[in-house]
Amino acid sequence: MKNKKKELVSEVLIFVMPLMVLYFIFFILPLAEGVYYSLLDWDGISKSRNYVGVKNYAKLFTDDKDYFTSLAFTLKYVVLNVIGTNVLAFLLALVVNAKFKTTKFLRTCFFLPNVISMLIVGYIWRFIFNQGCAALYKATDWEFFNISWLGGGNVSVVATVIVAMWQGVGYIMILYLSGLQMVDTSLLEAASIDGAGKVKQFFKVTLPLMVPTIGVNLFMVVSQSFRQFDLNLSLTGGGPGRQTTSLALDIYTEGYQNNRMGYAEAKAVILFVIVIAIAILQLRVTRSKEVEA
Amino acid sequence: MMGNAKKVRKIAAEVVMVILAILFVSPAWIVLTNSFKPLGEILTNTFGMPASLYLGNFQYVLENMNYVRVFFNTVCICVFAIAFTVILSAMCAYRLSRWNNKISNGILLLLMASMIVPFQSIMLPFAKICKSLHLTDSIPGLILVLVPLYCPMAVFIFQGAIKSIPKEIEEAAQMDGCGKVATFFRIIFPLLKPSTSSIVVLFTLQMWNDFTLPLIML
Repeated sequence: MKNKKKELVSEVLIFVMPLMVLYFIFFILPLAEGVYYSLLDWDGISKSRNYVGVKNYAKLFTDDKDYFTSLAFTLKYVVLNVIGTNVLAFLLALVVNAKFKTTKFLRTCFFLPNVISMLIVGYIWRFIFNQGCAALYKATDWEFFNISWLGGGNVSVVATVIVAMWQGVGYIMILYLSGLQMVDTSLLEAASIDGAGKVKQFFKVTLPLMVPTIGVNLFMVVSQSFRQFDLNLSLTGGGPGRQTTSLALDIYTEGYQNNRMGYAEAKAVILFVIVIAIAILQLRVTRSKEVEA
Repeated sequence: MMGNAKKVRKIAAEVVMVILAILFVSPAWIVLTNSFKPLGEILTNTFGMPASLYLGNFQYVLENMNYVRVFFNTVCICVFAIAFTVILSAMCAYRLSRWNNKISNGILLLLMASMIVPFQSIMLPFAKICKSLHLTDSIPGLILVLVPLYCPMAVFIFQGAIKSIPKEIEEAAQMDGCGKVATFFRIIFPLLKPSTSSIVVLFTLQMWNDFTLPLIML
C-alpha cells in the first residue's frame, strides 16, 4: 500500500507539477497580486506603498473622464466588431462552403490577413488610410476618400473596426466553416423534400444547428476585442487626445507611462470583471438556445 | 438537372467572389509592390506596379534592423516555447484526465477558465514578478514565461484527445512492464500527433505575431 502511495506521489511530481508550478507562479499569482495592488497607492518603483482601500476604484468612477472616453470607445468597438466580424465570417463561410471551383483560392485569400500580426496590420492600414486614400481621392475625386479616417470621433471607431475585421474574419470564417460542415446534409434533403426552399432551409435547419458554433465564435470575438491593444497602438497611437484608446491600451499607458500602478491595477481588475460577466451572460444565452439535432 | 440559367448564375457568382477575394487581399499586395519602390515613388505612384525592382528598402532593413539576428531570435523563441508547452501540457493533461476526482477536474476547469482572462489584467504584476525573478531582458526567460501563458489552450485540446484513447492500451503496456513515463512517451504521445500538429500550427502563428508580451519582457 505504501508503495502505491509513493508511486502516486512520484507520478504527480513528474507529470503534473512542472506545469502547475509555472502556471501558479506566472498566472495565479499575478492575478491575486493584481487585486492586492489595486488597493494600494503605488507607482511601481518606489518603496512606499500605502493602503488606500477602494479609493482607486472610487477615483475611477468619479474623477477620470479619460477612462470613460476609453470605455465608450471600447464598447462601441466591441459591439461593431462582434456583429461585423461574425456576420461577415458567416457569409464568407457560406460562400466558401458552396461548391465553387475556386474554393481553395477563396479560402486562402480570406484567411491570408489573419497570418499577419495585428501590429503590422495596423501600420499597413495607417498607410492606406492616410497616403492611400489621398492618392485615390486625387485619382477619382470621390468624397468618400476625403474623409479623415483616423482623425477622431465615430469615423475612427469605424476605421478601427474595419481593420480589425479585415484581420480577424479569416479565423472566424474557418471556425464557421467547420461548423457548417458538421450540419448533416440528410437533414437539409429531408427539409427540401418537405417543400422548403433554400432560404427557409437555411433559417430553420442550418441556423439552429449552428447555435453552439455561433456562441463560441461570438465569445471568441468578444474576448479578443476587449484585449485589443496592438491595433490601437499602431493604427492611431490612441487617437487624437485619447479618443481611440481601448481599455487595454489605457491600462498599459497608466501603468508604464503615467506610473500609477495601483490605479492601473484597479482598471485591470475591472476589465477582468467585465469580460467574465459577458462570458457568463453569453454562456447562459447560448445554452438556452441550443437545439438537439 | 441544372438549367443553363442556373449555370450562368453560378459562374457569375463565382466570378464576383473571386473579384471580392482579390480586393480583400489587395492591402497585402500593395505592401508587397510598395516594398520595391523608393519613398518618392510610393507617394506618387501608390497603387501601380513598381517602375523597377528597387531593393534599397530591403537593404536598409537588413543593415539597420539587424534582421537576420532578429529573425533567428523569433524562430528560437517559437520553437523552444512550443516544444516545452506541448510536452508539459500533454503530460499534465494526461494525468489530469485519467484521474477522475474532484481535484483534477477542478484544476482542468481552472485552466479552461483562465483562457478567458485578458492578458492586460495580469500584465502589470506579471511584469513585476518577472523582474524580481530576473527573467526580463533574456530570451530563455521569455521562453519560460510563454509556457504557462499558452498552456491552458494546449491542455484543453489535449484532454479532449486523451479522452478518446482507450485505457486498455495503457494497461496492456503496463502488463508488458512499461513504467508510467515510458507508457506516456512511447504510446500516448504518438497517438496525440493530430492534436499536437494543430497546436503547433496555432501557437506558431500566435507566438510569432505576439507583440505585447515581448514588449514588456525584452
